[in-house]
Amino acid sequence: MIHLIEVAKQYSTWAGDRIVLFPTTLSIPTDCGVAVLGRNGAGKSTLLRMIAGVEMPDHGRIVRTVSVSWPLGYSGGVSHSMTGRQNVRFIARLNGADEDEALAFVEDFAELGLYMDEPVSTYSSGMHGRLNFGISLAIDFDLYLIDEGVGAGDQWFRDKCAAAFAERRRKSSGILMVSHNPQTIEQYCDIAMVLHRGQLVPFAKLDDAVRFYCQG
Amino acid sequence: MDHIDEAIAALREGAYERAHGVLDGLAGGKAGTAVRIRALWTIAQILRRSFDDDAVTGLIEVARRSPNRAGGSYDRVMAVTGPLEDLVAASAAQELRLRIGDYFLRDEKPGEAIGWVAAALSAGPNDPIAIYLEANCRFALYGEPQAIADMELVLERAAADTDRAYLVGGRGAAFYYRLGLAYERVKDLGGAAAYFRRAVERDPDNETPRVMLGEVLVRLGRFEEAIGLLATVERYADGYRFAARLHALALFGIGKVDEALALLHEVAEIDPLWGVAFLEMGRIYLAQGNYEQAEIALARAFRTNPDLAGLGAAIATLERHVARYLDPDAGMPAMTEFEIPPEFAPRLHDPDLHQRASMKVAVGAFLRVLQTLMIRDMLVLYSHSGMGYLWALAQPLVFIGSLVLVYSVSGHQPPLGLSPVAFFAVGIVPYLSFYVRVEAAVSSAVRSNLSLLYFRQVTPLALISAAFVREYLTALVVFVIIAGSIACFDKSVQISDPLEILAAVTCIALLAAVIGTFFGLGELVVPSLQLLEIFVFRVMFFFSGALFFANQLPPQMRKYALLNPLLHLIEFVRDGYLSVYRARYASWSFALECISVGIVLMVVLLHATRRYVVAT
Repeated sequence: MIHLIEVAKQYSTWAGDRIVLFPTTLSIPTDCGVAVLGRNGAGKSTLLRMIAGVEMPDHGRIVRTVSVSWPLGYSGGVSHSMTGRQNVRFIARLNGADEDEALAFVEDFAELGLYMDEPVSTYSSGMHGRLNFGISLAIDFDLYLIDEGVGAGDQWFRDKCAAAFAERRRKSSGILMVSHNPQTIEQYCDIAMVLHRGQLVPFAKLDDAVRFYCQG
Repeated sequence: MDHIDEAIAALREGAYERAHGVLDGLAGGKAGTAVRIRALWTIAQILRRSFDDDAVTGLIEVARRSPNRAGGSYDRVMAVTGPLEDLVAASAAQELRLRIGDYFLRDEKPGEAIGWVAAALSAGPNDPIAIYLEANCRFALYGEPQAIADMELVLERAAADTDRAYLVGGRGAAFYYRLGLAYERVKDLGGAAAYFRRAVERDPDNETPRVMLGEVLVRLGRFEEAIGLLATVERYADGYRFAARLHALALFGIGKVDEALALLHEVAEIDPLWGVAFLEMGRIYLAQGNYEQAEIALARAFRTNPDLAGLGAAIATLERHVARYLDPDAGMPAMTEFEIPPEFAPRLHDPDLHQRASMKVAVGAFLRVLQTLMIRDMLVLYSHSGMGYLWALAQPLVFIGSLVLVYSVSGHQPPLGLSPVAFFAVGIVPYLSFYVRVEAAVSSAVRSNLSLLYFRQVTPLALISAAFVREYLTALVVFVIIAGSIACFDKSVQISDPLEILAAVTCIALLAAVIGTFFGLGELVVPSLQLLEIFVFRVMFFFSGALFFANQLPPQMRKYALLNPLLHLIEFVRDGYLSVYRARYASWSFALECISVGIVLMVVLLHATRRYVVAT
């Protein structure tokens, strides 16, 4: 479970304060696919970062009773001057995961071959994306956080990502996916919340959330 | 006979159902065997029934797991199966190639299709379907006008081959349909309409050519003709929404605005996720000058799919008219009354909520992160050439060398009978290695690693600590090498108190960490602090005592110089390193008080800036 207890967030901008989230108290289940819908700029990614624990709420607290990933597909943690192998080891060690297991997974998943021992700066954007996603999936979390879509690169790789997520779902890992595109979330999510003008409106049915989001 | 041989025998006999039964659910031991089983299963699957999703999945999996990683799907699959004629009859092999090539063409992957289709053409140079598909691939890949002529040349022969029309799906209407698409792509709408119409005649139940014909007619302005064609598409047919959109555009074209909007509203009701209907509504309202309704419709289109083609242009037009930005929430309520469903009900009595984190676990995790960050930093900074470490050693040596040179040329003699090397080394090395390097590393630790904060475990404190420990240990090595060498070879030096030296250099590093943290974090919030940092850096240097003894200073000047805690600490290094020198004016209590206050301020600053320090 992810417990949001009186969590509130706002940003100060030149145009004045912008509220991302009014004080909100609810518990997000972590054994299913949960979507957060909201238009561009609604604050979905900020909410995801707060749940990931990399950004602080202004008020209230967020309690995670399960292991939670960083927002997946994020490439910033990969050092370009280190090799793919060194990056995998670094991130696995950081997360307390078995380095060899993580490495074996990424080698199989990202299909980088000999490039695993080359500096990441020599990778093409497709290879970079595959490494990032491979690392993200190499570590077992109870809840995976996904920001806007799944998978980089070509259709085959996206299919592979989808299969890997399906596998994790079978192992009872949950998914929390934020998106501005309702079509993206239908494949992965069962229930949803809509972030709308600072309110996080929860729905027991995905269809209801999509209808609310699209039609108001 | 094992299962694979049995399946191959069945495939050769044309008993695809049996081959499929043998292979279904069969797992291979080795990776190579498993992928071969999957390949044979896929062949049987394609040949026993229509090209379904399972066949596509099998094909993709075989290509992905093929030992040939370089080529397209044809080369990859062939690397697993070998020549298809060795597995199945020649006609079945040709059927496989044409079907798979056709699948990739339909899936808009002509780059994948070309391998299969070229192989089919090679196996049957006079096969009209192979010639047609190969020309189709060339057109899709390179837009060759000659390819259209080639397709037309064999069109009638290919379309007449009704026995094999299933290879391109259905009743061979695809031959006409694809030519229509080619003409549409080269902007010959008349030619496109003619071929789409023949496709519709050949397969009247298929909505795809009908919708394409409707689109071409709308673009040609033949609205009445389009309405007649599209009105026949059933409301529950797959392509209804596309047909209804074009129907609405045709109605709008002949001035029946209300009917057009009603039709689009009906489509939006059937499929509320299809943003195109809202986009067309928005365009019609825009054309009518009804900006309020246009904004609501375009905002809905934006919320449904912000990447819709043409949506950006429509929004820009609206914004020009209303002289403000689109409100993406247009049409939605300002506040929403809602009840929290049981799935999301707050569970404030959950026992996990009230558990306190174990200090031991937290410290263990912090140390693990610290170690990981240090290893990463070492790899990033020093892995390639080792120049990083060399520079750490060379920097103070170069500095000392230059000063000794200047001193020798000017004929000066250091006090207390010390050699110039010992005189400078005892001040310069602690200053450069323990103060300058540590301050620089700590100051940039957070700023240059902001992206790592995306990992929850990595905190600003961890980044600062890792930089501090790394540079402190490096400085110790450098100090021991330089100061140790001088002590061994320079008779004017006699180390009196190694522990005092260690305590003093450690305090210098701590002082540097405090100042580095202040500026490193402060500059994230107030970037202009960098100017203050340069000023403080210079003042600290001039009054650091790196180039003079405090005992030598005139009393008036010493009074002010001793306000710098760094001077006290460098004096203690001298006190421990040179038996002939006593640091009469240095005070441990002053230095430690400064560091303690600094550490408290550092903790406050870390806490205060945690909202500003966010991963970028």
